This record gives sequence, C-alpha cells and structure tokens, in this order.
Amino acid sequence: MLIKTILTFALSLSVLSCYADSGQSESKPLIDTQKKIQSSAQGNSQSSQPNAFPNANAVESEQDKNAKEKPSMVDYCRKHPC
Amino acid sequence: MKMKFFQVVAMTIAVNCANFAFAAPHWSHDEQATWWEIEDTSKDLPMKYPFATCGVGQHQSPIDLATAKFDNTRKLNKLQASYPIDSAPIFFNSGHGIQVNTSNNYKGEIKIGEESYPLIQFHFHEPSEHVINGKPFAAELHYVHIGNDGRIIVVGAAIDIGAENPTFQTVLDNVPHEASGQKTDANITINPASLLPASLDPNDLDFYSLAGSLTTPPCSEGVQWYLLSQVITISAAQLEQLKSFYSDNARSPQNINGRTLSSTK
Repeated sequence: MLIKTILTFALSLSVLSCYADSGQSESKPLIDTQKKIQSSAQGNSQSSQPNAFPNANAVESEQDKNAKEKPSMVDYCRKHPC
Repeated sequence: MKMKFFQVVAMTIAVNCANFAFAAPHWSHDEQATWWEIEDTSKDLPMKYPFATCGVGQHQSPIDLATAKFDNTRKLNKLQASYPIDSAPIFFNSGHGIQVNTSNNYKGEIKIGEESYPLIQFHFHEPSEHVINGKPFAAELHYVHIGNDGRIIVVGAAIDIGAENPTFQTVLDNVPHEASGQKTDANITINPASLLPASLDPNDLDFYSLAGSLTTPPCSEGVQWYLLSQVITISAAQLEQLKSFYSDNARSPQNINGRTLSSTK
C-alpha cells in the first residue's frame, strides 16, 4: 500500500507536468499523449530561442515525429497481445 | 476525500499520460493482481512501474457487462468490417496467447462512421475476458485496429461451443507452440472475416461499446471497445486445441467506475 501511495504521488507529479505543458484535460489518443510529452520536451529545449513561434522546419520535424509514432505502436501490438 | 484524490490522480494519469512500455518486463496472467507493481529495474520513477495503470487506471478492461448502465441517448456510428483475405498472414505465439498478425500491405480495416482503422492483428483468450453476470464465454476473439492517429479500436467477439470454425482451425494448425514462435507460408492465406458468422452483415454490425483499456500490461487506456452482439462458435475439440496453447489467459473483470455502455440494440 505504501508503494502504491508513493507510486501514485510520483506519477501525479508527471501528470502535473503534462498539464503544465498542455493546458487541457480532455482525453486524447495514446500516441497523441506521447507526442504531447515529446513535443513539450522539444518545446522546453527551444525555450531559450528568441522566436517563440514554430518555424516551417520545426513544423516539418514535428510531422516527421508524428509519422514515426504509428509504426512503433503497430510494432508493439504485433509483438504483444495488446 | 483521500479516495477521491486517488481516483482523480489515477484517472488523470491514465488518460493524459498513458505510455507504452515498448521493452516491457516479463508478466503472466497468473500474477495479474500485481501487474501494477512489476518493476522495470532499468528505469527510475515513474517509469520504474511501467504497468502502474493496471492498478490505478479507472477505465480498465475487461468488464462484467451486467454491471454497466446503458446509455442509449448517444447516436452511434455504423460499424463496418472490411476484412479481405490476407495472402501473407503471420501466425504468432506471443507467449501469452495465439495471434495472427496481418501483413504490412494488408488492406483490412474497421470503419466507424467516416473513420477507418487498419486491422493489425487478432488474437484469442480462453475463457472470455468480458463476462455477463460473472459468467464467461468459452473464449474471446479480439480484432486489434490502430488508426493513423494512434487510436486503438478493439472489436471483440464472444466465442461459444458449437459448429466448428474452419478459419479458426487454420489458426490453430499454424501458430507455433513455442513462445515467440512465428510462421508464414506462401500457401496459407487467411480471411479474418470468416471467423465471424456468415449471418452477420459486416457492413452493419450490432455491438456494445465502451471506453476501456488493453487487457494485458501495460493496460493502457484510451482504447475504444466494440463488443459484437452475436457470438461466434468453435467446436469443443477446437477449444481443447486452443487450451493446449494457453489456458486461463484472461484478465478478470475490472471495476466499471461509472462508465456507460452504448448499444445498437
């Protein structure tokens, strides 16, 4: 029970960081959630840049990343029951 | 108050930060009550517990259908299964069940309204995972679909003992018996649709639908379930053959936690 409580607390911290990044609470597809986490990490690393708006390359890079998400999920479900 | 906090945190974790453990630690159906506490010793918190959602998730699958309230106020999209013959299926023993992976260029899909979700694989559980009033069916078939947006749609069909199913026999005869074994044979094709009764109209399937999760670790939520109203049949001998691979590879029913069931009936 103690482990479960600690675990819940630790995971809740990660949730708070998700909220801080996304600012929304509605249910999303699983891959979208992963994308959100990844893009928030990407956003943090870019925060020191003067221009806060994404440029064309950044958008393209994000699309590439998104396109790579589906195959990983497909691969997972081909190796596991899902 | 404490319980409510726990529920809110758990639901938020599950819905917003669900994550797949792509290199998952070992698990088995025998220890399903403690899936949540299986550790990945190579990771730090919170990923140290990759299956935590199995314990703290609030939209877990399977369920006892009799415990769910029906909400028939929602207009449901039509469910259309288009599963042509796959000329190069991969018969796979996942170590937890028997499974058929579709080939990379397979065009089979499920259509829900205007959205299409390609069929990635189908697999079997014995006995069924979804139950009614605590009573399981002999087995259960899950068609797993993944959309371009990553959304997972599982179409489930309860399996009863009855007429032999020739397509199921093809599966039984070709899945290797050793865990992680897989087989492809240029001479063996499979028609996933022919597992379903011929009387079913694949362009207008009757179903029960609810939000749920994967029924195996990491028990990730955000999975939409469509449970077909009509059962399919296999023979008693086929059930025994299925059990010779894996028996009792079903997760127990999970708390409904206020979810409602929609139905076309």
